[in-house]
Amino acid sequence: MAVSFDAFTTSRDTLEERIKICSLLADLDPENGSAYAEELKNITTQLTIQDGLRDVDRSRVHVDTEAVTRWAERHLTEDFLRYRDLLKAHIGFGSLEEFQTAMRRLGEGDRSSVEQFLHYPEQEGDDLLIDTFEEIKREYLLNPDYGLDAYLSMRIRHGSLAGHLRGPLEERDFIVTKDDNDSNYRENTALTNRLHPPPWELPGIFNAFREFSKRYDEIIEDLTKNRLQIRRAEKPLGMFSLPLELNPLSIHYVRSHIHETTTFSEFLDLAFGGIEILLHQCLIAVRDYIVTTVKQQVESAFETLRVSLSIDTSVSTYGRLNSEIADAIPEVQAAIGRIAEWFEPVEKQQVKLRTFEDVVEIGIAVTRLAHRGFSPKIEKDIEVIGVRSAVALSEFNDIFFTILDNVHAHSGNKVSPWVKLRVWTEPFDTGKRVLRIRVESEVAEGAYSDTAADKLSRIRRQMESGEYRKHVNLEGGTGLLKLKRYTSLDELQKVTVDFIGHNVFFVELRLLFKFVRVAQTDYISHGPYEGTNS
Amino acid sequence: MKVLIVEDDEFKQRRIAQIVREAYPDIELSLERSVNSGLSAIVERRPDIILLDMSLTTFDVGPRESGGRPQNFGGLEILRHMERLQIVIPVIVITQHERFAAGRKEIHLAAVHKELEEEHGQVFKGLVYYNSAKGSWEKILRTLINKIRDKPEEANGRKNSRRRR
Repeated sequence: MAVSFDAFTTSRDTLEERIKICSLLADLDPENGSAYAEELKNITTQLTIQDGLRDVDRSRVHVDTEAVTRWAERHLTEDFLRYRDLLKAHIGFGSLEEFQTAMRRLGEGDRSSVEQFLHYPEQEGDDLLIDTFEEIKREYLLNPDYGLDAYLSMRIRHGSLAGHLRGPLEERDFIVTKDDNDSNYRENTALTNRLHPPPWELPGIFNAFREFSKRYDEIIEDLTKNRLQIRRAEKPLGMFSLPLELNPLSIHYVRSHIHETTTFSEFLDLAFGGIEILLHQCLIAVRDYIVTTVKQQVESAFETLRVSLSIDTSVSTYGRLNSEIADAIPEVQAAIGRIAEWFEPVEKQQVKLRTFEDVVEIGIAVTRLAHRGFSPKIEKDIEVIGVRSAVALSEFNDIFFTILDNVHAHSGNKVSPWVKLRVWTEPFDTGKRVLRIRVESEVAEGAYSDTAADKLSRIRRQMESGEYRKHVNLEGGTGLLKLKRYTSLDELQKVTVDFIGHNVFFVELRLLFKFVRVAQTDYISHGPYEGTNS
Repeated sequence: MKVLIVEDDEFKQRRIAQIVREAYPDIELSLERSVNSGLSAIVERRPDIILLDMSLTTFDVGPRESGGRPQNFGGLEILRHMERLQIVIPVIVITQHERFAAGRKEIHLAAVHKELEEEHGQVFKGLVYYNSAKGSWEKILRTLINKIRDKPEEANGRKNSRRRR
């Protein structure tokens, strides 16, 4: 028997069904056509944003391999050619056939055939290849403009992760922040004002939530400051550790695919493939750590909170608080699951056509996921253009998230500040245009100060001098500096930030992009770096 | 004995599962997290006992799934579907809420208990107030399960239902 719970298994299924129903109704009932059209538009926008959020989340772990390629071409081509000469002289080196046979046998359960590939290669010529591979890997991981660490910082550690984990609790008045003056956690008056416990229970409740907030923030801080880092001397607990010794298979993969006619470009593709083998293992370990260890830590924090509240409050007050905890926990678990999915190894994204308006909406949705309850009043003036590149979508998302995150943090209005967004293009060269993004935003009464102005002057100096590179992979007060990364590779690109009087702040970006025309609309076809350098 | 737990809070689900496994090592346990997946499991697997949360989302929440409409009385939704499909399986409701929001009103646990008895008396076998800070709920749950296990004919609704309508 067909019943409703069998017909749809996800929310998306129900929305797609709703589209079909609205389309049918629009035909059957033309008098109310505009109402159906409006409903269709709303659902379609909702689905577009959902798709965009998925694409943005999939691109959080990212490396700009085009930029690494350009760097490698400048610095490593000679080393590779030298290596290839050694290869021509038939010094050492396993063959592709040998490697593939071993892999096939491994698949059949014969481990003995791959033994040689599970050890670090030590034949003559290997040192040169390994050194070259290691240099590419270092750049891939640590370059402050386009390496993995830069993207982990921009897309995960800087605000996003904390926002996602804290968001469900902030929305329910379940977590407090530190006092600006003495670094102690504040009293959770938002919750007690809502639940009205008797006055004599307040100290116990405040104390329980202070301890809970402290513990919860420590879990987040441990993730961002220690675990989700590239492992190196100053970050010994970093989970992104890609030593070749632990998985020599990756270098054997590269080594056995190089032959006498392999070009440098082909070699780089192999090297990236080898690094991705190593990275794949890290991503799985990070994801597992989040869904197991982090979840357990969060569970333990909630249990401690419950025990404290059960000791310090009456049965009646505890009942209400326990009920609130029950509502909050599944949302926190969902947020942890979502963060874990950021580290899911994924295939390269397919090209999708999106309007710039959609891209902006996706950026706003991403920001609101990180800052629940933040609902800026955004006035938009956006030229009709589109975005065809998944890389560009992610980069625009970084830009809008950074700007709106900055508005949330510094405008003095954490709920609904006004924001004016203007996006337009200017002709530049054949197939290229200057894309200009200007965002003006509210500076609420009291938010402007000489200290804030001095800080902004310092940020501008760091942007101009190149000193920003030292700070972009750190978190806390570095959001605007991260925008500089997007303009740093071409002097025609620019980012400007300043106050207008004491009540308005603005950010303006000038970026160069390649455009292609698809069905009467001009689409940005590449990320900004490619656009400026090719 | 086949036991199905329908519970969207992973921590609570794990705790209940642990208690049940410890008390009844030979049971076959399955876990679901929403109205939708819970109902599908009930229809397909026909468990002997259902341990049901009251507040459930429509669909399983996941990284790409918000869960759809949140339902304060998602457990009731499951009970209504069971009745419509004439599925008679003993159900124990386990909730962390002492009060439930119903529109602008709040319904106390005792009223929910009464409504469950009146509306779904044929399958509803008891309500457990879950409080992980204290262990009393575990004892109540075990007592209710024992009762169902020891008198399956009653549990399966051969006793007259107290339904009013």
